[in-house]
Amino acid sequence: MSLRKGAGSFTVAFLAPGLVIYVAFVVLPVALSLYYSLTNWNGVGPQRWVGIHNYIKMFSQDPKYWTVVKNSFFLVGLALIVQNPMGIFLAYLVSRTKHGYKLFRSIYFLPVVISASATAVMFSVIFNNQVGPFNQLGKFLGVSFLNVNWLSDPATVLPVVASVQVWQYMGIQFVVFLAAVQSIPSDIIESALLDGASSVRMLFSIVVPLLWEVVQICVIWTVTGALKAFDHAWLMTWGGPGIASTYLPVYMFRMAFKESSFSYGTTIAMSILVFSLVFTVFFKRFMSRSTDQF
Amino acid sequence: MRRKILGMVILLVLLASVGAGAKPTIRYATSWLQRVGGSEWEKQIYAYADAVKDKVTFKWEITQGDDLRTKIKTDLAANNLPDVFNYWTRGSLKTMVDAGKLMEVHDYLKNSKVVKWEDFPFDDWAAYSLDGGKNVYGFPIEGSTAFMLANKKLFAKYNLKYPKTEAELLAVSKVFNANGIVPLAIGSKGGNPAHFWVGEIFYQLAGDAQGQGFTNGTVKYTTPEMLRTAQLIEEQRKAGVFPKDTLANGDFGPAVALYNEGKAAMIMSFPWMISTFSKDIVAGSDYIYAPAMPGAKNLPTSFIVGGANHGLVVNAASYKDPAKQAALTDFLDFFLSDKQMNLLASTLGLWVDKNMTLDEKMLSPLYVMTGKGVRGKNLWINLWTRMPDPTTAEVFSTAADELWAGTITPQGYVDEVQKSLDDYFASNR
Repeated sequence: MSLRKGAGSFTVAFLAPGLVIYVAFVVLPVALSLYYSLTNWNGVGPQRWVGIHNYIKMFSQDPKYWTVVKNSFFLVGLALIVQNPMGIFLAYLVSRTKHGYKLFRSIYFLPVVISASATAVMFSVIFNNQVGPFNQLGKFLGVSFLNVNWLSDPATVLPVVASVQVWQYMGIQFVVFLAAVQSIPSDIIESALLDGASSVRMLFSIVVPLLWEVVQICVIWTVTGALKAFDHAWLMTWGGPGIASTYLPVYMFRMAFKESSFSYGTTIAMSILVFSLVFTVFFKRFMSRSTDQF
Repeated sequence: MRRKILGMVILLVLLASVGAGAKPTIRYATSWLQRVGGSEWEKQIYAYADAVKDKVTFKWEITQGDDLRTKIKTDLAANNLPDVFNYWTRGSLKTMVDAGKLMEVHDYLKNSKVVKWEDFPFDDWAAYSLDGGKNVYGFPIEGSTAFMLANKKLFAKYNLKYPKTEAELLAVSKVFNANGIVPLAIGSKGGNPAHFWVGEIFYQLAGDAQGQGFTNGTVKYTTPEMLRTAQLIEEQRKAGVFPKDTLANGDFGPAVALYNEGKAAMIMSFPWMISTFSKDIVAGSDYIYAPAMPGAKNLPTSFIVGGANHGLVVNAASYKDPAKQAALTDFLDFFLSDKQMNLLASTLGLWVDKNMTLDEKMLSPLYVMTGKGVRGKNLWINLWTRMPDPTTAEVFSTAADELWAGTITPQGYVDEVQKSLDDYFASNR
């Protein structure tokens, strides 16, 4: 079917504003970041072209970078293991709840709407060894293993900071999966029930396969979101002590805005982009299959 | 008809832009406004802006604490530096000075009818210089004079005396720890306020001359005195002198919160925190000096760690702009006047560096107490300010976090800072 005369310009007119905004706020910054990463620039004065020097430094001369990558991958792993399975599980449970459906839905989504700053400050106090309720409870119960410097001990600071983030944003996966579960035709569920399927069997054999495309999207969101994590690590510990709780975006921020090394900071930013793209491409390529149809 | 309307719109826009261009806009970026909301100093600033609104429009860009540094760096990268802003001293200025972004103060002083070179001590002018005071790029307003307080009630409760030596410090710490009290509220987050304690111990062992050498590379950070400083800090950490969770209790605010709540027996704090101490805790505190460290060459009662730390700088391009120069000169005359300095001291608790006698009746009891304690002492510059550029200052700060948390050895600490200094001097020869 060919376009009517004038429909082409009509289409362009409607697409143009969005495209202009996309180019201005996404494509252009990425292109500029790539350019800055190939220069030596302290944020003021001219940029000096250095080619891939920053990339060589990042990959082979900066041992802190790989520690920070490991920290970011820890968060990605924790988020994948907790957020998506819990999201599906809670969505399935809540969808089958007869009473209190709206209450549970609100409770599980509530942490998402609290600002990250407030959450980070709140948990900084909760995990404060000196005054926090967590350690005070441990003292009260006489439980010594709770008497830990949660935010100063490098063995615990990363799991604590990552857990706060994973907890706060679990509600996003929950509501997405809830909407998806509720969109499963009810006759499929009823048929399964008539066939004697248990709740567990129904979850793994019917619900999850039917939600596979939604699961893929949520997994990509989880990974890319975790790779961009900044707020909690910065507000709770500034990424410290040292780089014990530093993620890639925190490291990028410190390089650019604390050490005035804008070019190295943008190099780190480009590495975040590459990690995200590589994961997305490979995940879609190897994990993609069509959703089961009934 | 459509063309007429379009023409009128274009004409109106042109007229508006011409009208707007006749009156300059001065952007002032600061962390001092809204720090103590509704303070008399703040009211006077707004009243001034209101009084001159026919001649100049002021835009306030308010960012608290260290975030102001981030904001200025972002503005700098975007070639959008404010016209006048608060900023830190020495190494913090290097990138802006090297790029010629800051006004040299004599350009203003020759135009000012109010402020003279003699109004500020030379050592404080030098804080805004990178060549020993020949060229000065800012107005030194706020000092970072460290002071220590002890909670009288807590010491009396456990029948303890204020520690005068490190051994006494470790002894009182044992008692306080056994009773759930933090002996000394110094944690480390972003190096704050820990680096002042590093400076305190180092200066006892080495003196000011070595500290000066860090800035120009004539003294290595790996001196025996700095290594000994780090070893003493590790010893104190293990003995429980500091809060257990040094990161969660780090930074200036959490330390004062611990002390205000009576959960810490002693604190080292700073003028910009004076307004956050509760009246009751101040009334129940004594001014004390740091305990003497073993092998100290300089008594802690002979010097104070501090120095001009913060003040006002002016965008060089803005001051060269004929449309803005008169407005900026007038604003600086007002800002740097004795009356405003008195208000900064009395309402924000800032340690004013200007050569003037403050009206003690306006000052808080803690300000007066601190003033008496520092009188006649040598003032030695805090080590963070001694770092030659932002990168070395950042490494210095994060290394302190690691030392306080016990994740780095004393040798590792001095080596890490030295490496950063080596990298700086290698690329700045």
